[in-house]
Amino acid sequence: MTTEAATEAPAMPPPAPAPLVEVSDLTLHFPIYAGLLRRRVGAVRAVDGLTFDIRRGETLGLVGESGCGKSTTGRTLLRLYEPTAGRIRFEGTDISVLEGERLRSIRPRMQMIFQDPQASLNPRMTVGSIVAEPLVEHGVLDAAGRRAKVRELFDAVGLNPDFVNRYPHEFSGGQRQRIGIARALALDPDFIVCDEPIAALDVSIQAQVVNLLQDLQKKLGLTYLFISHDLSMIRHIATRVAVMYLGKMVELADVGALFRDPKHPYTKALLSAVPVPDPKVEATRQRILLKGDIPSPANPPSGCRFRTRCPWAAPLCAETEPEWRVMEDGRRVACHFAH
Amino acid sequence: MHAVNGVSFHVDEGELLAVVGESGSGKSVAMMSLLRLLPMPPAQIASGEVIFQNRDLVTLDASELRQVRGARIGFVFQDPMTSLNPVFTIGYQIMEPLRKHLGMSKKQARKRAAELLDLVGIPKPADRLDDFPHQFSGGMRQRVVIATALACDPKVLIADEPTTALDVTVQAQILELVRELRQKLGMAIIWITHDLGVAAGIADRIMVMYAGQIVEHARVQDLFENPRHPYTRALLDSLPGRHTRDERLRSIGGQPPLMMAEPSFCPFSARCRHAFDRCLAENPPLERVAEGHDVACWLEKLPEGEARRDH
Repeated sequence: MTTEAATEAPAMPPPAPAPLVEVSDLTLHFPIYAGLLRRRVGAVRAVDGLTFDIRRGETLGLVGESGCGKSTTGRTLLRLYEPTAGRIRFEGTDISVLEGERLRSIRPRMQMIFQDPQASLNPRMTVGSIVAEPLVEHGVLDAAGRRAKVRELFDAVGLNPDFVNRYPHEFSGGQRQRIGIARALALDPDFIVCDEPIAALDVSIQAQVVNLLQDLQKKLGLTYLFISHDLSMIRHIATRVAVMYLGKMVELADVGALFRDPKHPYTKALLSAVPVPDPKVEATRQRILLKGDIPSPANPPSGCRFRTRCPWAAPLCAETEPEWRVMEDGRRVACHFAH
Repeated sequence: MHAVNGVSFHVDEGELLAVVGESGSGKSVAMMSLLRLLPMPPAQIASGEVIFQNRDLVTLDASELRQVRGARIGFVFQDPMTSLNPVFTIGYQIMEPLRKHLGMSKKQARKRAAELLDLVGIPKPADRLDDFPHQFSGGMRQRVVIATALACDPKVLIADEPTTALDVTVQAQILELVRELRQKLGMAIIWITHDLGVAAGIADRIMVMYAGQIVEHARVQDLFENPRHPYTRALLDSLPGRHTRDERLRSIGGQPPLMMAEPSFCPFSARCRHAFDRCLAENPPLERVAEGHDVACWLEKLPEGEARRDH
């Protein structure tokens, strides 16, 4: 059947961009030690069996409430934490097992932008040397080349290159976040994990930083994992969105489909809880109020982790963990009853 | 530092006034100074009066003021962990104002405290009175703080970013609780927030602050449908929900100014697309432009047509 193989390819819908990062069954447990002998008594199951991919050139939004494991996921993808189990492939290379020099050689291609620009910039270094540090660390360029590169990076993120000799405290929050972005770009990465990059900024400044991130993505062909709890910003910036709850992904879909027609009951509740800056919408919309609080990830509920707060919960949910299944429209969802 | 300049407003009984602004706009300082909650010195109320039920709070002495604080005017702060004392049980903390202000006996106060916890939706309230703050989750802790603020049946509740530290689903629970409580108790609420979405959902009126001044004040529908101050409009424009996805967000360039002296110019002029010579020479006063709608902007004084040139 050689002809079938040849005709099959053109008949298919336009292929989705190849994945840059493929994650399968990623798990990270933080051990809990207690007692006189510091015995291991349990584990915080921060990330528990995630399977997803990030396509080249897209922005994958990762949303969830505090403590759901979204930041841990981002950091584990960059091997800032050692995964307990599972695989992370970056352009086909399994980076979850790389060690030493081989891991170091791939690090420049994956960078991170942190939430708090105050805490992530060393107050005793000039901003120029902060941005140049990755270049020094990885032995890229000579001193003169580095100086030129830093000025170029400052220009790219909209900072005055003449300010390279100033210190972080001389900049405002939005400008400091630009410095963090310049540092992340220094080694020409392909993939950037943005961990709540705008959460610490004022509304009018948030827009500046988000526009900058989008411009840079277009210009440099970057791929982002954009971690945020701000759903309206995720709706604006993301291509696809993954929703996490208590260490698990519950839904992963194209941004339009997810916001138009959320399938998982948690996604539905989360979207309905976001305040809309329009009093008419606010006065008429249906809210799904969840009862109670998020359970502890050290002792998650059996079966489906959302069942303790879920309006649809049935006996089945306590017994069997829902499968991370693919639905007709291509989205993934982990719920027995979503349809 | 002139944190708050010439701010005048009123809140009617049973009404919810939202105060919106970015960090440093003076919204918290303005409301804290109503009850003289700022350390003085360094803070100082240079001028002005605060009339509450026909009495000027600025001139009250310390003991008179104590009778108002907590009893007639309740306060809810942003971070429930810092506004509850970690070494006392929550029962003790709710009972304290009841015993001090209302002179209840321990037994009466305990009964009332359990009722209050029930009112704010804490399950098994009587059993939880002896728990400490760390035994509650963030959302439950904020409910406890609200119960404390409501203890003496205040006429006015001032809430300073009460949901900012909470997750959205928990925020939705607290907002729903406040809607319910307003219906039940009918007190006036001043709600300080930077989130226009939250304000849209709960407020009757909104006051927008910038650099220590009120730049616009209107009923909630008017403010969102017909914002008139360039800052309010820019703020609404910078929200992602009000754009189609492919559009860039419209950001406001620059930074809010630090008001080191009494302003002799419009504080927004440096970031305003419509600023003209008068904006740099004089600070515009807050003036009525329509029924219940006040704006502090010189554009309003320009001849019709020219003033609306940006639309």
